[in-house]
Amino acid sequence: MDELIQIVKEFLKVDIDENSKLGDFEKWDSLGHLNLFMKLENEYNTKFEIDEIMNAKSIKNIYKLLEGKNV
Amino acid sequence: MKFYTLTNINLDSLKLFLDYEFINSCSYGSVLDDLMDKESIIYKNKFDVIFCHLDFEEFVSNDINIDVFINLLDEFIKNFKGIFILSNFNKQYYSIDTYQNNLLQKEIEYNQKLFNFSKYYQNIVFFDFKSLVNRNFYTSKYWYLGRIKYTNECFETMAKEIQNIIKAFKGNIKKVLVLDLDNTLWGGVIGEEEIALSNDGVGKIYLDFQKNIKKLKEYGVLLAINSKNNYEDGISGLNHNISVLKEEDFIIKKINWNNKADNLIEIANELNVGIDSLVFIDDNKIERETIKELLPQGNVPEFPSDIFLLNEWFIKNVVYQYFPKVILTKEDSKKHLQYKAKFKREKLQKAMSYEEFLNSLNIKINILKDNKNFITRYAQLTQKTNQFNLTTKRYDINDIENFIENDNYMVLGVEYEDKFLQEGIVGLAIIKIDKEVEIDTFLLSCRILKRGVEDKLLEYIENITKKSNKNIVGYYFETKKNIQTKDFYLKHNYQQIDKNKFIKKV
Repeated sequence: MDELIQIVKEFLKVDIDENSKLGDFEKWDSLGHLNLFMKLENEYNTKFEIDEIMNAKSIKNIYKLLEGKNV
Repeated sequence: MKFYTLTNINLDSLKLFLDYEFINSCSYGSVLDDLMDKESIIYKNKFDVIFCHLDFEEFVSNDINIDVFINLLDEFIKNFKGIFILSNFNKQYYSIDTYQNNLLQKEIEYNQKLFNFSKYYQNIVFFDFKSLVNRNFYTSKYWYLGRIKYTNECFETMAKEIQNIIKAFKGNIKKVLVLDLDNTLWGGVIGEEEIALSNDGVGKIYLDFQKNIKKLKEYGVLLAINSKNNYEDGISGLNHNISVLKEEDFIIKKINWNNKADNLIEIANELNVGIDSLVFIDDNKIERETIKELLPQGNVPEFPSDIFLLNEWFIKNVVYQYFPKVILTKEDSKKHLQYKAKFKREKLQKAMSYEEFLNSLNIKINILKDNKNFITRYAQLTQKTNQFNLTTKRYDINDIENFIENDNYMVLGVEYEDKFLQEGIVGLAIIKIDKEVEIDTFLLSCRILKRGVEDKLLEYIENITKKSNKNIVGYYFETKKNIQTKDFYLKHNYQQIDKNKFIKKV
């Protein structure tokens, strides 16, 4: 979880925590969300389905999603 | 620094990689509107930097005439004082016409024209995007998901180049290249072994490196040495019969056993420049780290771990980063004149006016009243629209359905289509009819601003409620993003009652 938070912080350059979600920050808008998933795909060498990207709208959900992918 | 992207695709992701003040393009793909409308964002703002980047496939599919486009650019740049970065087109290798190469021909022709044009103005910097592209730059998935054509890697690379260009343009570049000797200018340790510096094998890497450094010197960069050797040994390396760099190429030589940070300070003092004007190259990580620690204002790039990458690394990560140049030499100026003449000949067609442009679009607007087929889209519009949204009220599907069923409310959707775009539902108004006609929600998707759609929608509301003989009341609630709609009702001759309320009396 800390690692994920760190990645998001560095990438979006916003001060998120584990309760943050899409829309909380100007840089984490729908566009930032997509760029973030691009980044996560690279970082964890994995692929996300469209539904996964659209539904994982908070740090907690993204964490769950990554856990499910075993990365 | 105020930064704007003039483009026909979505480049907003750049803001993740650039620390400039981004002025939002609002609707991506608005390049023609921006250029033609003298009231547009680029004409009204004083941007420091405009990055113009057009997607080839989109440009071609919209059937835009390149000469018309360049004339529009010309019209704008005439009075533009900032830095204009003009990117070339990149056709993707695989295209439907395969080896007939029709599209390729187009691309070459377009790029040639853009290049010629770029030479016409001193504040245009041509950005050779095409040569930068690699296969990791494009993404289909995110294109279909959110109209993002490029990957983060592409945006990051672009951003870096933009920064380099701006540095170069502002003359904000370094002055002195300071070099270590052993395993930097040649392979091995001089005085202890035969050094590698030759016309073949690994020695050639170092020889090429020296040649590159020599060229950089010719471009006006000062060279200095900062190395831990016996002085005589160091000099003997430079006097090596094959060495390209000679003793006299270096303005200062600190070849001694002192602390390298102290040497750097002396070099800066003797040349009367700041430490931040020096770029120091050393293969030794400990030396680099020490200097970074002691002289944080200095520039100490990482050294490639794979020596075969030395020259590639040097050009990309040192020259582009610290010594970029755009300033024209005399020779360049002569060419500049030739291009100027050429461009004038190409300047055949006169730029279209914005009105002519709008007329040529064949815009079709259709207003739908209380149509239940689109409640999902309506709700989505209220959720997502930020910029042209007068009240920014967010509704869900149930809310919208209730409004439609309620006789006191009217839900109006706007369907839009033109020559290039079939956008579907792009606008929404929700009005409440009571003692007065209240405009509860009035919004428009960014993509079709400046096409007169907002005027048509308001006019429709006024017409449809005319016979009820009621005053029309409009609201504006300011948010961070909707400032541009502030005067909407005033422009339509509504009377302002208070900060948020506007009225048109019967």
